[in-house]
Amino acid sequence: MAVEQLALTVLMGILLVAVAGLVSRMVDWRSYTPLGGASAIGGSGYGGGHAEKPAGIVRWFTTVDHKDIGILYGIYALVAFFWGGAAVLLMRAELAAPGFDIMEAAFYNSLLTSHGITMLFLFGTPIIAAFSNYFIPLLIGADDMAFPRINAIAFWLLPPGAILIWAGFFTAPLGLGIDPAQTSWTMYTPLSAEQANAGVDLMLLGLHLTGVSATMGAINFIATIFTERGDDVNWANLDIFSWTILTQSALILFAFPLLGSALIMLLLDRNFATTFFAVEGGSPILWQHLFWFFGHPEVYILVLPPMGLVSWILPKFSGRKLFGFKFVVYSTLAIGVLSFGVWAHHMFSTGMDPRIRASFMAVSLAIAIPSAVKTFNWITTMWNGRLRLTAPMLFCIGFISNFVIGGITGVFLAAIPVDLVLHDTYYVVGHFHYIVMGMIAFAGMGALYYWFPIVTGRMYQRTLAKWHFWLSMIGTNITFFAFLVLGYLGMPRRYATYQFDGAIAPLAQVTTLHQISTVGAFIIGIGQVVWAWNMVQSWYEGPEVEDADPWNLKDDGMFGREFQWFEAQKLAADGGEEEVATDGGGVRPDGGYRRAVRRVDDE
Amino acid sequence: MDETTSDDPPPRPWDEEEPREIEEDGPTRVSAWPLVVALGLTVSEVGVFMGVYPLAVGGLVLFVASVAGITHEAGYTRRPWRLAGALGVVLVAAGVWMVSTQVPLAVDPVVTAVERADGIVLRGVSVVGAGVVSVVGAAIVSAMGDGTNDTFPA
Repeated sequence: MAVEQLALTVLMGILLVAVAGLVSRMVDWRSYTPLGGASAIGGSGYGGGHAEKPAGIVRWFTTVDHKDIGILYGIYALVAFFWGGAAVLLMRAELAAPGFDIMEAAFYNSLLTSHGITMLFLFGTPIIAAFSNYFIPLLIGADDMAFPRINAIAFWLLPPGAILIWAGFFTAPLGLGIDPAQTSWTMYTPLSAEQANAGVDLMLLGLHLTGVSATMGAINFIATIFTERGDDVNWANLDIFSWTILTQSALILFAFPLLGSALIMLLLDRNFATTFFAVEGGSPILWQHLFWFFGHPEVYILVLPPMGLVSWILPKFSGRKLFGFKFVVYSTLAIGVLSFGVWAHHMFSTGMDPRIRASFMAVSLAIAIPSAVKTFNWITTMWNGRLRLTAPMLFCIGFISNFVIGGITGVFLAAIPVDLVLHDTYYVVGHFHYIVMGMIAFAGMGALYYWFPIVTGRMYQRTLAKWHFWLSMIGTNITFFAFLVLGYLGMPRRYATYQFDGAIAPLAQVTTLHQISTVGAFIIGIGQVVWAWNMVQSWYEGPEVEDADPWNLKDDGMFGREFQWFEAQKLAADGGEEEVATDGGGVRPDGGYRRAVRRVDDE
Repeated sequence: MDETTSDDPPPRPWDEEEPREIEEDGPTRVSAWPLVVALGLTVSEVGVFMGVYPLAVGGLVLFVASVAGITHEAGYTRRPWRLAGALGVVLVAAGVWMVSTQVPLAVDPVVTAVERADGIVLRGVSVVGAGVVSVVGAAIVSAMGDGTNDTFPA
């Protein structure tokens, strides 16, 4: 033990010396900008001049530029997406037959836990941060984020967080007795409090770090949107994506610190014999209340910005402005407020007071109203529009289609009598996967395609993008519709096997549906491989974008601020005389060129 | 956008004493500190919570030093060392508080608790240790500076 401690001390000393060396070397070649950010030349992902950044890998480790950090967030999120995807493909392979065929229950549970936490905390939140970091300053005419260094700290907390969350998978083969957590992403007590495994502690610490990261990011976005807007950007013409990010940041600010506190309480219960969540102490139900008071707003933290992305992109390919802009903003705010009043609908079957239960049912059902406002506004935006079925547009339409199914199944689950029957079945899993995969991931993919030319200066391969969409759309609906039916048949969630007594459920049908959803999952998987190939190859070899308007948005008067910034960058890169605009600067407040075609009266 | 916005804080006395050039040729949108701050926070969290004392001490020292460094770099403090020392004092206080929750604050009870490997007392002692290292380190490095270079701004 003493030898280990000594070795660790030496290692720590070496690390400290290395850091000191690195930082003192940095001082030689960096020049100070005391309050960061502001600079006359905005370096872009597209080659708009990198004179202000060091070359090579050092640039990526030291950047505080919002665009670079956005790219880092994006790459990080996609690595996590493939980790979570690989985990679920293994799980689906196991579920193709009723028994234990390719893995043991413990490994299945580990994959289940890792898949959930990875997709929500390491893919969902960061992929949104990727878009918001890169584009919010461009959309609101800011030079950078309000706190560029805080922005970089928020990102750099994530890789260690991921390593800690996944730690058990790396250490299990080493025989250290640190195995992956098997708590599921909800970490319900008493299971999570009593699982004696340091892997759980490491996962909780990692999760805590990602929460700190999200909170720092949220504070930064609130400060940026309030204080860094350009002179011509006001609350009346603030774009819809910024509105959703602002609302999301407010939700993060209220929700994530609570998660952090609850995680620390759980860690204390596990390691220091406190009794916050013990039966003889605060009770296991306390965990559920705290967790879901964070957890349900988390759903909207994840879904509001994708809704903003679709509200931003869909009109571009409909040839019409967003229908009922103001009401889309109001519904965003309404969802943000209501999201804190629905948490106990996850707990209808815990035996809570029926009167309290009814009030949570009412608020949960009420959320359907602003959600429907958005849905109808998207549909009405497309109505009579001149639709162009580009890859981003296809993903937006797929998003709406999946939202209709995912959202309406949610309305059923909000009703207590239905929930008591379907609780803890695959129906719930099908419902929220329509939301997280069918909506959040779809909007993310659409936005990736839409902004690919700005970030890389190149165009992706359109045919592959359409393959990606259709494989994703078909795969998603096969997989998760089968889940809904499995739920009706009573298939409980989270199980590695399903060898029922025939009197409980029809095993043959359950097996068939599981096999169908396994096939669907692999179709999704193939789609994502196509997409990864497209992204990587196009980034290196795709045709360079000649025109700053790859989507022909000027024709409809929809040349957004971010593309106007891109145009200024291209002009500068081409040696134009025009003065180079800083991020978001020097663009037209009216959205450019001519007014969008309106086929209905203005509000 | 204009390069200097109204959000810039008013110039402080030391800014006038040592005006720093903003060189458009050199890298300006870079900082080595954020990565180090994140690393320091991670290592210290794991070290303190999991009871791995070398990581706890090293991580906390790294965190304190990087917070002082980034604050200085951002222009909020003239010298990083005073802040590093102050944060070290905070750590000492926090560590002493942790120890005091378990045993009376006297030499014998603390030594006894350390000898029987009381987890919370040991963690407290490691936090105190990190604080002491920070204070002493900040004092020494501060004394090394002569005010002529950026590495050790005195």
